[in-house]
Amino acid sequence: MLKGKLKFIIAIAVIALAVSYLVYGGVKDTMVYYLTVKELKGKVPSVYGERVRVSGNVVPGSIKHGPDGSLEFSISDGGGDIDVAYSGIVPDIFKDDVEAVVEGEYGSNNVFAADVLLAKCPTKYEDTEALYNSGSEGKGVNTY
Amino acid sequence: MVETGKLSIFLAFAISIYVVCASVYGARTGKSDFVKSARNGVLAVCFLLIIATAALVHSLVNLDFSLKYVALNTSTDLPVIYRITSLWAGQAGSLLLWALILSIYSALVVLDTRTRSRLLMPYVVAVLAAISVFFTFLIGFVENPFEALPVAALEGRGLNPILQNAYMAIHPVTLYLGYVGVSVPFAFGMGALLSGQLGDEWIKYSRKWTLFAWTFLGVGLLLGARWAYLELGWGGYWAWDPVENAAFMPWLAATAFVHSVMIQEKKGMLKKWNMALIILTFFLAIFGTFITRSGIISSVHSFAQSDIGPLFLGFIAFILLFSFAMFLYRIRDLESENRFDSILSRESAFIFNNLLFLGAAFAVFLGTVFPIMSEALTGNKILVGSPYFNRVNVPIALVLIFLMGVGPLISWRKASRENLMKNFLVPVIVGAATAGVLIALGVRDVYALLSYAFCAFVTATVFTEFFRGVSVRSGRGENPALAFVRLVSRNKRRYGGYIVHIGVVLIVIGITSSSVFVTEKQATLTKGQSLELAGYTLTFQGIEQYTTDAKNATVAKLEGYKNGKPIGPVSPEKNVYKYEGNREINQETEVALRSTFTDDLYVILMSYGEDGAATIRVMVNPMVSWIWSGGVVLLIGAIVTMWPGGRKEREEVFVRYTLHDRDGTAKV
Amino acid sequence: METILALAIALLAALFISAPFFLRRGRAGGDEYFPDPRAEKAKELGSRKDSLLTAIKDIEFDYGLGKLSREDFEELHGKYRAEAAGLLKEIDSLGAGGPADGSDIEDDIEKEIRAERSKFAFSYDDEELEKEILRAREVSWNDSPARYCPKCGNGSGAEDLFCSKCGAKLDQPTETQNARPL
Repeated sequence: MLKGKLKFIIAIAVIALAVSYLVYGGVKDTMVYYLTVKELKGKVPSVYGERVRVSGNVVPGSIKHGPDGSLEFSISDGGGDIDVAYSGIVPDIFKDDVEAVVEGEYGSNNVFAADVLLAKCPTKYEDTEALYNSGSEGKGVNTY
Repeated sequence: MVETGKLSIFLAFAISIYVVCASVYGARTGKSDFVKSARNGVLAVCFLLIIATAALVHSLVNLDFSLKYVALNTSTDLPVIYRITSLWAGQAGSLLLWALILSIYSALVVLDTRTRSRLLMPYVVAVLAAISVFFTFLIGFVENPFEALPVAALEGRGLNPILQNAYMAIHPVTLYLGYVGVSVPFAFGMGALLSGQLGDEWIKYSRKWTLFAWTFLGVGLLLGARWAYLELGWGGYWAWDPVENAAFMPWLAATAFVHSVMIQEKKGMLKKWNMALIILTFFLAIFGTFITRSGIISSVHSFAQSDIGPLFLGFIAFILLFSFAMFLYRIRDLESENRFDSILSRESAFIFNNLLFLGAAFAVFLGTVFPIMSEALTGNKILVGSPYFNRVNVPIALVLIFLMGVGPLISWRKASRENLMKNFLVPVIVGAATAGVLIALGVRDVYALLSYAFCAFVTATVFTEFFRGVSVRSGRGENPALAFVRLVSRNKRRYGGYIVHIGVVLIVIGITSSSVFVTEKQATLTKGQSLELAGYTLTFQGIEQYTTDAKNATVAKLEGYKNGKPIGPVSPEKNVYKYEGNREINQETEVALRSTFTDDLYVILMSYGEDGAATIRVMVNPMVSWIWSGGVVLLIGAIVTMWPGGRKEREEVFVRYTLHDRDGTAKV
Repeated sequence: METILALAIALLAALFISAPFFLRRGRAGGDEYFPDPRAEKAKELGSRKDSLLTAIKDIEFDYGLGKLSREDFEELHGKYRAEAAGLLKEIDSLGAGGPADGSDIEDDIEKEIRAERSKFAFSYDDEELEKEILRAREVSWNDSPARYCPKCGNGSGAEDLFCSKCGAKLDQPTETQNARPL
């Protein structure tokens, strides 16, 4: 029966190895660094041409809609700001002062060419202050 | 009502603690009064949490803005139905719902086992109550839904408009029913370990409840996918977002469990494996709740940090330590009654199925926690995105689909050549022919070809099973429909399982087609201009605006044609909601969707200019509707499998397929 | 007003939970919750016997579908019958009567198995139908077994002329329509 058992061990090892290989290859080829604007600035010029994800707040007044649905805006995190060019679907909550997450490449022209744009509200989720003043900040998006 | 609700939660917490102690004490000393009292305690907790939930719903419906939870999640102009669904729109309410569902399940377990399994049950009840202690503690002392604001607000913040639709009304509840449902089989597993009653009893209950939880998780995932597809407006239904993965992982582990449990029933094997699997499933369910509720991993379902993270981590660590300690303590009682004989056998098909499901769960887990892990290990936050998940999971899924065709037909113990020939010849031919036809039609994507061929293979195996059965019965004069019903009702588990498999096949075909053959185009149109894509023509008629009580809507009017034939107006919208509560998120993109059997026309209004031009993005997603219909089939199959009654329903003891060699050593 | 409601709820819960302690005084005593080992044993044996009978049907089905090899089927079939016989003996010994002799038990099993079958015969003989379903599969592939010896009930291959177990002459395949296992 040893032979049968060996076959099993080999089969299980093959599955384990195949999954590990897929995971390893997948991580290696698709991983991106998640940086703040400040960290991105710190990595110039080695970061040029490398795919990264950056998050920062949208600088108020910087959003410009192009004629063909393209979008330009700046994000900042207090440690500087970068210009972003994006074309694609814009999340409904994207607007001035929200936290934007962009993924793409930072070009040597210092424009971040993004092909992924996500938006999050910058403020804390259950901020009760906002219930009392009618100011424009302080509302979170919450899903279930 | 608020005071009553508050008190009910505290009482539920106190009674849960009492139940744990009384149940264990009663079982250990043989004092049945304590055991009975603990069982009554479970029912009392259920009653109290129903009252607490009713009190919160009452406050939500009547807009009691002195409560923080109500003020944060409702507003005066919110329709009553969404005031009720706000129960699970925020943190505290969701946790209350979790505790409520758990208490209802616990009560059902207690009522279901009134006269049965008396040695096992006290411990099961104690474990369920221990989980309840944690959740009632959270809602009582950390995130109390009845927490008052220092000063009552005049108006609430309102509910995010993207949450105001029918899917959001049922999708979270469905998922919670699944997440929480996993607690029950876990409690039975732990109860078996604690009581030493490691026979078939716990397996029997666990299988039933896991199937139940599995169904709700699966349906919840599909509802979530459909909601994302219809509401989020990016054209997809699945993004490997942490919150989606959170529900997907326990579903994967539960799928592995409902399969491997059959091997334990029939052969008394894999006992350790099944125990470990149910612990893992529960861990993933709690971990999923943790990810969803704590906001530790940033997600497009944007959550912020909250205080419950560390508590959850502590709870998870406690569960893992305690259950694996118990597992090791009893490991000698979990020896296999049989052993594996041949790699070509049903047993090994199930083993491979399990390894692959766990492999997929592991890969998803790794991808989901990668940012946290990499930051902890290297200081850099590194993400892996959708491409990672697809690269890893697509090949695993393909092998699993193949096994889905093999598993039900292959022999126990050792498949002979006749067995393979007899049962697999036709399905293999069907699969190969499908691949051949698709190649001839010009499909070159290897994954797509394999996926379709395997789906055809599985369908053929299932249909031959049904066809043979029905044709014999109807040959006896039964009409075919009746014959079909009788066939299925005679062995609901077997045929219900086949129906579930067909549902999965439909879903896989839908996913394959819509991800491989999607086409899209974006263009800025002025009045009278057209856009063509995949046989569809859209002619732009101009921008229109209208106003309702709730919103200002801008509509791009398009006339649609498919292959020259008119299909009516197509009108994507951008809405701006009026009410004050949601200024940050008051815009909503409403896609125009025309769904057919063969493809979905999906049109998004990207932007519009003052000159009357509009930028639209058009996608043609083939066969997306197959995913939803597959979901319906899957649900039907699951219901058939779980339908009560019939010959399997009496007190059932599993009879093993155990064989012995002449010299008396176990052969199988 | 609300305080009263809340207190009432708390009181109700407390009463309900402590009820088992109070109610006990009214009873004659004796802890009947935890099972009487003897009754439990009898119940367990009964369930096990039921399951064995179902299992015999199941392996007949699985064998017919080609999911069990012939040797395995034969061995399991014999084993389950023997086990069922042992159980009946044990159940009898638990009850008032003394142990029955072997032949009676064999008869009992036969009866039980028949009863098990007829239980699921609705207006049609479902058992027969199921057999026929199996046979349809066989015919469509034109090979392999699912015939039973008319004398001893042992399964045999279509090509066999004589039963491998008891040596009885086997019917022609067309006549197996009415042959019943056991």
